Amino acid sequence: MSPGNEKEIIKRIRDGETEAFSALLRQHQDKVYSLIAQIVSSHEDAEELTQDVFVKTFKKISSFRGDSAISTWLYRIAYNTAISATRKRKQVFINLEEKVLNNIPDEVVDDLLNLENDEKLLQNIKEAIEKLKPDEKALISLFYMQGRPVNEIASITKLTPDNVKVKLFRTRKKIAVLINQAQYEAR
Amino acid sequence: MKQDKALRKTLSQFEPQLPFGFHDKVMKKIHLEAELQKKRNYILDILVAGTVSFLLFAGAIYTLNNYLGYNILKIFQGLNIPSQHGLPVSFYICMSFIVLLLLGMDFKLRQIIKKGPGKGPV
Repeated sequence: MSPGNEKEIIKRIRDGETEAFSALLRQHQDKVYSLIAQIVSSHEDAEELTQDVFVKTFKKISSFRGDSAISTWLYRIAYNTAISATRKRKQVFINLEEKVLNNIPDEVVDDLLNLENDEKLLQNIKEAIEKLKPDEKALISLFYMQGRPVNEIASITKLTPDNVKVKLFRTRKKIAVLINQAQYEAR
Repeated sequence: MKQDKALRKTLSQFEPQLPFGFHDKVMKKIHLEAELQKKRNYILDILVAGTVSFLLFAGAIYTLNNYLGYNILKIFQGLNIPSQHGLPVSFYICMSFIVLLLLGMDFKLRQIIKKGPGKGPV
């Protein structure tokens, strides 16, 4: 769907044509669901939260000014909704000390995260991702899975682009540390 | 950081599927929300129209009394037309004046609201 097309759809929704929302929903539902499922780690909760996100979007559509793409705005609503839901659950996440993260050289992280044919490693990465904090999961999901540029991720998460880069870098390191720990425990 | 092939591959394997009927379920909720919004707008329009009408009427009376020295009540009191139904004619004149004023304002406000973006007809 082109940006011009999306503007036309938004105009129709604002003019009272509710059915026009269907096109917007079809276009974004899978990606929004995927992002939320990654953050909350529960498919049932993710489905409910995705519904909430689209109802919120419909309610707020008259306040959408068009400064950013509709997808950015939609992702921002999805990100905030999912993060709020995880806060309510009060889950405990692993906090790694700065020292531990600094102990692992960048080259080791680069090498480790590029071994794409090692099935055991892929399983370890999957388990490491599950142990990340919700905002860290959101960052890697937006960057690696959805292919969003850093500037857009900054707009979605309300961080600066530099902060996004730093957080992504640290999250990669955290994944590498968690993989090393898992491999050490398996021996 | 741009590469991280193993990380990308792991994440690409995570493709959760939305349950069947999700789209219809959400659209049902959207239609319900649209109906609610219409009702809310309708109530809001009535409240705004009522408040504006009352303020305009009160303002008109205040202006006539205090700035133009035109006392409507005195004029009505001065009229001494016998009534067969018990109520004074001044009452009917006063009521018809108010009704005409409110009908006029109602017509104007409906036109303004219809022109506004995203508002349903009242």
